[in-house]
Amino acid sequence: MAWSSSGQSGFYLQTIIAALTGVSQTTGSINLLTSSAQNLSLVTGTAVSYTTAPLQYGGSVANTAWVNTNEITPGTGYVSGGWLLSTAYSTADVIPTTTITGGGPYVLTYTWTHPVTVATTTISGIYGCIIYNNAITAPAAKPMYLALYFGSTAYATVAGTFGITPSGSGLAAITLTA
Amino acid sequence: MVKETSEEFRARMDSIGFLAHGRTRDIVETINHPETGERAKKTTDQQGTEITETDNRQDVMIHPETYHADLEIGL
Repeated sequence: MAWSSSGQSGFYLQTIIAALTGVSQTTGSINLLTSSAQNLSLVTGTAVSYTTAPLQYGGSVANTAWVNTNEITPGTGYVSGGWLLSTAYSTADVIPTTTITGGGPYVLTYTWTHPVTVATTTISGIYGCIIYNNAITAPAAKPMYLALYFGSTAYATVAGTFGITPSGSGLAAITLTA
Repeated sequence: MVKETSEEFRARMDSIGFLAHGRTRDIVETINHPETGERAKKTTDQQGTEITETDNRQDVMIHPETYHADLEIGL
């Protein structure tokens, strides 16, 4: 189903596997906390989870490389590729964090200290976002970490501020134990 | 030089009709529609008439639900 009616968020499995198995990365490393090497791009409603680029979470290593397929049309305040997370909080760093919560099962939570806040934008047709590494060139160029579906509402701004505020329980969480 | 208060200045300008048609305004507040984000500027003219001017600027703040990925192992 297209994201305009139904979508799914997801971590990119080959990126997780590469991090866990020590796959060598060229010109960078897989690290959720390095905001200076991470971009946030915005996704249109025509994207389809699992089957269309760039949302093939369970696809091949090549499928984890960020592409501008199904990216929103660039507009005022937004160029193809999206925003650098280290300057996306009113030109300051959103400061990504990971924490462990719970006492069994344990949950690994990823979130930001500050919301994405970008002033003076005119963009439309926004259904979700992708967080990806902008520095790594191989084995997958610009490997994607996580895609977040915002719901079946097309968000838009007109000469206004675009923002994403993480939930109190984080942007994404992985339950790692039974 | 004779100093005058703002009230005196306004009274003097009013007396010659300079502000009689609301040529200057005091901005009261800027408001955002809670759902659409549409902005409006409320102003008051010299007769005390409230004027609401809207423009098409629109903000958005998204609060995505936490994405939960489970890697639970049940033995």
